[in-house]
Amino acid sequence: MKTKLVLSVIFSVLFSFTAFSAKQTAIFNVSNMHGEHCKKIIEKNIAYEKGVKALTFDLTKNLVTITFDDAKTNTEKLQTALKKIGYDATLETSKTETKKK
Amino acid sequence: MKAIIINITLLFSLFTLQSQIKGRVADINNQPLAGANILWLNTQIGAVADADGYFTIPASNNHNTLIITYVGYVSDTVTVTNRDEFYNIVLRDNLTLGEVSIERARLSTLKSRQAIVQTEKINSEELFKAACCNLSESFETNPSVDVSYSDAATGAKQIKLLGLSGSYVQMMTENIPNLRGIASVFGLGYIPGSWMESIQISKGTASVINGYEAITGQINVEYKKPDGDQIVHLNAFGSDAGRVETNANAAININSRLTTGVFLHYSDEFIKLDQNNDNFMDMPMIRQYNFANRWKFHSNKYEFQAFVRALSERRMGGQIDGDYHIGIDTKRYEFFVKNGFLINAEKGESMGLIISGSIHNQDAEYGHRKYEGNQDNLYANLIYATSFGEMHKLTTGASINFDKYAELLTIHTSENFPRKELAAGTFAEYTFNYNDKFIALAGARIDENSLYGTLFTPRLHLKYNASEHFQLRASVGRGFRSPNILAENNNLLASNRILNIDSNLKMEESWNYGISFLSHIDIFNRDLTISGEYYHTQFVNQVIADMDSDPHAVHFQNLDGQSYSRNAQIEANMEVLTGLTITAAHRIMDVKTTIAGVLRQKPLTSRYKSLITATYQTPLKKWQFDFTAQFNGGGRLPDPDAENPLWEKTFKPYTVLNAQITKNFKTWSVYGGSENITNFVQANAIIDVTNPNSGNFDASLVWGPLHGRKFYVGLRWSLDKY
Repeated sequence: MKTKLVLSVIFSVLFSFTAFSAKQTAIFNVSNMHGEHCKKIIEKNIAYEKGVKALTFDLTKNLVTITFDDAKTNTEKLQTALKKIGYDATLETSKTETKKK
Repeated sequence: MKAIIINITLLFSLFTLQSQIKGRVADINNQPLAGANILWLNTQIGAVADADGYFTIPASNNHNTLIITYVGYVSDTVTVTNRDEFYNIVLRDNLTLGEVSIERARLSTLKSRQAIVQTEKINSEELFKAACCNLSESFETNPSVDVSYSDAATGAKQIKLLGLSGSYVQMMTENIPNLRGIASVFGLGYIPGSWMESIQISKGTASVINGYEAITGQINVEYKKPDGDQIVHLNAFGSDAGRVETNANAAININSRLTTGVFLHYSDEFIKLDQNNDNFMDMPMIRQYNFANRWKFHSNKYEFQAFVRALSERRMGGQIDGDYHIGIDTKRYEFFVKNGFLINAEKGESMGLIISGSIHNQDAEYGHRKYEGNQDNLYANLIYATSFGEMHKLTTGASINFDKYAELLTIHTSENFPRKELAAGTFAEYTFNYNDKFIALAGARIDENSLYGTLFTPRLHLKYNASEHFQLRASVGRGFRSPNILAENNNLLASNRILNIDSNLKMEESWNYGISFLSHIDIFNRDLTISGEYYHTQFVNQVIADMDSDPHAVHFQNLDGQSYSRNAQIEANMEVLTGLTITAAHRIMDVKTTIAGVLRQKPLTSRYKSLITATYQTPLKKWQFDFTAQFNGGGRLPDPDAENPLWEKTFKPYTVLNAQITKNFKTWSVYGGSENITNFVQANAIIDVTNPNSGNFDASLVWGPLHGRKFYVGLRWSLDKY
């Protein structure tokens, strides 16, 4: 009985934390991104930006999709980070998906 | 009517010929990059940006990728989809940014779709999977190349390609033949892992440009480039087998045209390792100092590269308690210079002059047997390349190679083996390219060898791209090689076998035939790569080391009868789940030689090998997990004494497992792992180990691992231009 109570407290605490942080996905158009070399550079640098969760690339359309925790970063910060390594990124779309757990 | 049609086609083709791609090259601040080079990828057809950064380049029917390069800036590629579009290309400065990439593809071992000769590339990412230590360990995750110890005493490793000894592979560094003769014994240990940028393995007959050697294939090592992405790289490694290793490289931009790279390596194996308690070191203690410096100068029409290297190595092994000692001291000095002149960029006309040389000194003792070897080498190759339209390319030139050997062998009495060999030759290689659909590469060379006379070496490669997803290749060619009995069989000195060397040994000569396919299959948007190949190497003449007729001797003699190696291999590679890439390969080998009148399986050669590698990378590549399993088939040993057999006739299949975990941070990474997890070790690797001075003593009958489970950790740090 006691363990059940403890477990339910832990779960509710965990749940409440995840409920606060929202995962956001932003698609950037990076005009001067050409080929695998650029992809590598972006990967290596943006992966270590705070809050970034996942990165996917569409090299034919010059698109970078960044999934991030919007409590830790935002699209402007990501744009600045891309600019710092020489890439001009314009935001195409972004959508917030509140995590359901 | 017919004439009109011809006229129209002519007009049309003229029109397409005249069509131009226009664009401009600038930096991120929109400043023009005057003098930037724009080339169609994998061709010499190009243009140079003018003072305002503008360029025009003739459109190509066969190519659609432009590569734009400018010294001090990161090269970039652009896919040309629309000829009327104006291409604004922005190159990023090397210095303002943070990080790197060397390889351009997703899968880290590549079967090249572009190369005409069947080529596998091991890039820097793949090299990281085998954490330690030098070239010999770099093939652990490659299914084509086998690496094994050549004896149980010196720690020397040898490779096998297509089931045949590494001496039939032409080793090259930066596309120049290297590590030949005496250096071939321990040569795989002379190239530290962190010096290498990539390795290319091509199987079957090779191009004629680099000489008549290369019987089963070529392995080329590219060192890190001074104008590459890496500025500083540091690496430290330690293992529970008592090996420490440190490497440091730096690349320095003197100015926009001149760069230099410095490479340092120190390694030390300082433990007298004897896991099987036979009072004989499993591995010798090895200490190596290795230094290299390279330079690169580059202007629009001329490129110059120079490289020097000095190496000193000492190996000490043998009995821990006793009077049988093994000591091998090596000093090696190397240089090369390369000059490239671009004569006409549009025609792809260029001239190259390569000069290289080395001095190699080896002073070895194996108990009472002593070997002193000295080899001086000088090599020059002049290459002229041009093209006639987009379909025809011609490469021609001349080369000379000079080797001077001075070898002194002491077994009871001393004997000198001096040898001078000069080979001068001329070659031509013609490439026919029909729309990248069908490519033929036909080459031939004629050499005059001071010891063996005139050598004619024809070679042919064909490639057919049936579709973007399916390619076929075929090759046939002849190869020659001068035998270097003492140097290449140094491992036999770690035995008390009597050496009988016939005096009339001929040059080795062979034909190699190969066919292969490469297919890409799309499965739920993932690329499954399947490749298959069959190679047959047939010797016309070979120097046979007969260890079967007498268990206490080895007899070197000319082949009398058949000798061949047949290899069939199939390989599949796929990213099966996001981040998880699996490669599986299986190879069957049939290697037979006529020994004492009987066609027999070559001893110490496995009949098959399977390899499975799995790599998992977390989505942001912060963690990487690598796993390798090698399944090696059984084979036979040289015949033991019939009445008093001291070893088995055959050896059984065995498995070797390796695993590694890497954690990447932005500028550094830390890795740890284990080799030979199942702890499988060949038993009875040294025959009569307690009596190294007896006639039975033999450390050369090695077919499996000599070293048990090993744990290691390492650290890499690099400062990159981006």
